Amino acid sequence: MKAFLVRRIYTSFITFIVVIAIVFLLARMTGDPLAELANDPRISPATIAALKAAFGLDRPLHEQFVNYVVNLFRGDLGYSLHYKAPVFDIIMQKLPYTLALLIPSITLSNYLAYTIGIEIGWRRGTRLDSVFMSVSMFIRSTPYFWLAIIFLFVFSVQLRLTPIFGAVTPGKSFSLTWDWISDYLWHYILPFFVMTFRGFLSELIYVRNVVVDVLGEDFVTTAVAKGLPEKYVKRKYVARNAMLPIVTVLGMRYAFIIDGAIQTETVFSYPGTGRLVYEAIFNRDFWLLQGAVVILTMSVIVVNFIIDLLYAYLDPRVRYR
Amino acid sequence: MPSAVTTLNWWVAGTDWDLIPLEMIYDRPLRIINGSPTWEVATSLEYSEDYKVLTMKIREGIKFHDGVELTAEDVAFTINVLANRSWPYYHGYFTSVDRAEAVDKYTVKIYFKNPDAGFILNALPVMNIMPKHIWEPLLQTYGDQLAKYSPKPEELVGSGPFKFVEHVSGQYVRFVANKDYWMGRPCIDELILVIITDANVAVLAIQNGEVDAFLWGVDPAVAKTLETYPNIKIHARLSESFRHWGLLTTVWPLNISKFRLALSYAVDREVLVNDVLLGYGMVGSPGVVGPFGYCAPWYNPNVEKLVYYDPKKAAQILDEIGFTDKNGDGWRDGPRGEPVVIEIYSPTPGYDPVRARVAELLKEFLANIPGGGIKAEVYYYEWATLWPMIREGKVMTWLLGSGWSADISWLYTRFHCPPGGSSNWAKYCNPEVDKMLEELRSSFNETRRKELAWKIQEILALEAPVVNLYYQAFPTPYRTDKFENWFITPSDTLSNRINMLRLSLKSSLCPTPITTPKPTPTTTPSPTTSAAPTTQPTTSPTPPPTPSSTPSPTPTTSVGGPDYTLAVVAAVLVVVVVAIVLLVLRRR
Repeated sequence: MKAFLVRRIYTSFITFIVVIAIVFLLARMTGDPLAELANDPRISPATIAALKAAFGLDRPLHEQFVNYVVNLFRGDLGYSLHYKAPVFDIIMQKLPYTLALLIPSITLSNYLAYTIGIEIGWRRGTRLDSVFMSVSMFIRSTPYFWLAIIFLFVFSVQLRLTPIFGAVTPGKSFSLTWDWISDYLWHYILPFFVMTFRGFLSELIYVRNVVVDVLGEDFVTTAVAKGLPEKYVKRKYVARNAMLPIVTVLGMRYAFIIDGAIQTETVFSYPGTGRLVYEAIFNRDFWLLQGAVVILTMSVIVVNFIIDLLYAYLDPRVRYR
Repeated sequence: MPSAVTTLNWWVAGTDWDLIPLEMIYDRPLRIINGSPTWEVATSLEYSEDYKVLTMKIREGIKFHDGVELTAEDVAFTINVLANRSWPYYHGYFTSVDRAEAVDKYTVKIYFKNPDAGFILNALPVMNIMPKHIWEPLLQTYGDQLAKYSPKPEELVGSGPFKFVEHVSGQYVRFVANKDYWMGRPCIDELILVIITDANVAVLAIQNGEVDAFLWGVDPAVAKTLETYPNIKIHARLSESFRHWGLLTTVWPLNISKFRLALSYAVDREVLVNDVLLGYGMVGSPGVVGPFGYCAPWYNPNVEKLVYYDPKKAAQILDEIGFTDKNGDGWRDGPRGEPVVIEIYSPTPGYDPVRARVAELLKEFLANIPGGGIKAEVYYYEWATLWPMIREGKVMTWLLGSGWSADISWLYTRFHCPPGGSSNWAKYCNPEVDKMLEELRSSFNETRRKELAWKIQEILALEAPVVNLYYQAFPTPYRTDKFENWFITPSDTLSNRINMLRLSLKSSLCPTPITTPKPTPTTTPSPTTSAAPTTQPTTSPTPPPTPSSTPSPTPTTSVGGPDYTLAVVAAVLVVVVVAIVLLVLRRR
C-alpha cells in the first residue's frame, strides 16, 4: 500500500507539472491579451507597454514560466489581467457558490442514477425500461441551455415561482441569517433542479447499460439457477459487479466541479467558477486561466486518487496487485 | 449588464461594465452631454497666451462622500497621476501635460510640455476626480503596482451623486443616493446594477419588469419584438465609432486612389443599414466623421454630395483608369489584363454576425457594377487571429469598427502617415493630409480647425483609404411604466451609455430607474457659458418606485402572444417527440 501511495503521488506530481506547462504555453499561443487595446482611441502605446510591464508580460517566456512555477509553490497564483486582483481571491469569491450548487446536485443525481439504473437494468426490455430510456435519450440530446431556458420560462416567467436571475436578491439586506438562507435557497432551487434532473437522466443510461452487461455474465445465470432470491442476486451479484465502472464515471463528475456548470451559470446568471473560466479564455486572461487549471488539475488528481482507493476497497483484486 | 464587473480601480478600469458603476461615484471637471461640453466641477478654463498653461477654477463646497472637501489638490493629484504614470487607461489623453499644481484651494494650473488643442475636450470630460487623501497613500505604498490593486469598499469614495455600497462579485453593484450631492440629491434612493449573463433571460427579465433598463444593446430582431410591448421603449443608441471597410493602400490595385473611390461609389450603404442592422444605425459618411455625438460640430455635410451610391459612376471611374473586362468573362481585369480579386476579411459569423453579413453584401455590390463586376472573395477568420493581421498590414481589406475621441484631432491617429498615425491600419499616406492633421492638433483657432476638418473629410471621401459604411446603433430597451422623465437624446444624435448615466446625475429632479438612470435635460451648451447652478429641484415628477406589478402572466394579452405561443409550442414539441420515441420503441 505504501509503495502504491508513493507511486501515485509521484506520477500525480509529474502530471501536474506537465499540465501546467501545457496550459502555460497554450494560453500564450492565443496571442497578445492586450491586443484589443490597440484600436481604442483613449489608449496610448505607452499605456500598453506599462501594463505589460506591470503584469510581467514583457519578460521572456522561460523567465515568465519559472517565475510562475516558483510562485505557484509559494501558493501565489498571480494576478488576473482582467480583474486586476489576485487570482486566488477571485476564484475563492466564486468557488463557494459552485461547490454548494454542484456537490449536492452531483451527489443526488448520482444516487438517483445508480439506484434507478440498477432497477431498470434489471427490468430491461419492459415498458418501464423503454420509457426511462427514451426520456433519458431525449434529455441527453437536448441542448442544455435550451432545457434550462424552458425551465426558467415555465417556472420563473409564467408561474413566477422562482427568480429569473442571480444567487440572492440584488441589494436586499437581510436582518436575519435565516432570511438570507431562504432567499438563497429560493434562487438555488431551479438551477439545482435542472442540473440534477439532467445529470440524473444522462447518467442513467450508462448505469443501466453497465447493469445489462453484468446481467449477461455466467455467474448471474448461475446465481439465478441456484434459486437465490431476486433481491439477493440484484444486490450482491449484479450491483456489486457493476460498481467499478460506475464509480469511475460517476466519480469523475466531481473532479470537474471547478469547470462548473458554464451553461447553468450563464442561463441563471448564477455566480460561479464555470463562467469565470470561460471569460478567462475569452479575455485571454492567462493567469486566471492558469489558476483555474491548476485547481482543476489538482481536483482531478485528487478525485482520481480517491477513486483508486475506492477501487481497492470495492475490489479485492485491485488491493493485492 | 451582461458581464461581470472586473475592477473598480478607476485608473485601470477598461470595460464599460467597470466604467459605468464607477461613473456613479465620481465627478468630472467637464462632461459631454449630447455632443456638447458642459461644466461640472470646473467653472472656468483659461489658457495663457502661449497655450502652455491652463488655469481651471473649480466649484466651491463640493464634498466627497466621507465629508472631506473636494479641492484643487484632488484635481491636480488626479491629473498628475494620469500624466506621470503610463499605466492608467486614460494616460493617452494626458501625454502632453507636464504637471498640474493647486494654486489655491479652488484653482488648478495645468502646465503643458507642448500645446495640445485636443486636451480640453478629450481629457477633462473623461477624468473622474479621485480623492487625494485616499489614493496618495496607496500610490506611495504600491507605486506602479497600483495597476494591480483592487480597492476596498471604503476606498471607493468620490463626490458623485451615488455612494458605493457593495459589489457582490458576478451579481450586482449597489449604490445609494448621495443626499448631500452638490447639485441636489438624486431622486431615487437606490441604484442597483444587476448582471444577467444570458441575453434571452435578460429580455425575459425586462418583459417581466424585474429590471427597468438595459445598459447594452439587444439583438435588432429582438428589439423589433420588444418595441411592440406597451411599456417598453427602445432607445437606438448610436455608438461613437465608424464601421468601415478598410483598404490596405500599399497593395495593387488598392494603391490607386481612383480605384478605391470606385469601390466607395459601388457600396449601397442604405441597404447595409436597413437589411443588416434592421434600421438600427445610420448611413456612414464617406468623409468618416459622423453627424452626431462628439463629431457633430465637425461634420461636413458636403461630402455626401461628393461620394454616394452610384454603381454607374463606379463603372465610369473604373473604365477611365483601365479596369475593364478584357477577356470577356464578366469580371473586370487590370489595365494590362491582370486578374483583379479583392479579398474581404471578416470576423466569423459567430463572433460578429453583422460584419459577416456585410462582407457578403460587399461582395455582391462589387459584382453588380455595370459593365463587369469586380471579383471579391470573403474570408472568415477568428477575430483573435484576424486582428493582428489587420494591424500588421497582412490583409487586403477588412471590416472594422473604430472609436473616436471627443476632439476632432483623433483623425491624426487614424489617418496620419504611420508611425505618427498609430492606428492608421490602411497605411494611408498623403503629405497634404498629414500637414493638415498636424495643424489640427496644434491650432487653437476654432474657425481654422473647422476649416481643416472639413477639408480633410473631403479628401478622405475622394481618396477613400477606408470606405465608411455605417454608424451602428445599439437598441437598448427600457421600461416606461415605472419611471418617467427618461432623457433620451434624439435618435439621430448620439448619446452613449456613459452620457446617459451621467446626465441623470446632473438633474436634481427624480428621473432614475433601478438599472439605468436617465436624466432630465439640463444641458448647458458650451464651456463658455457658465453653467448656472443647474436646474433647481422642482416638484418631483416621479412617484416613488411602486413595487413591481402584481404577478400578471404577461405584460399584455393583446401583444403578449409570443410568450404563450412559445410555451405551448415547446410543450407540444416535447410531447410529440416523446410519443414518437415511445411508439418506435414499442414497435421493436
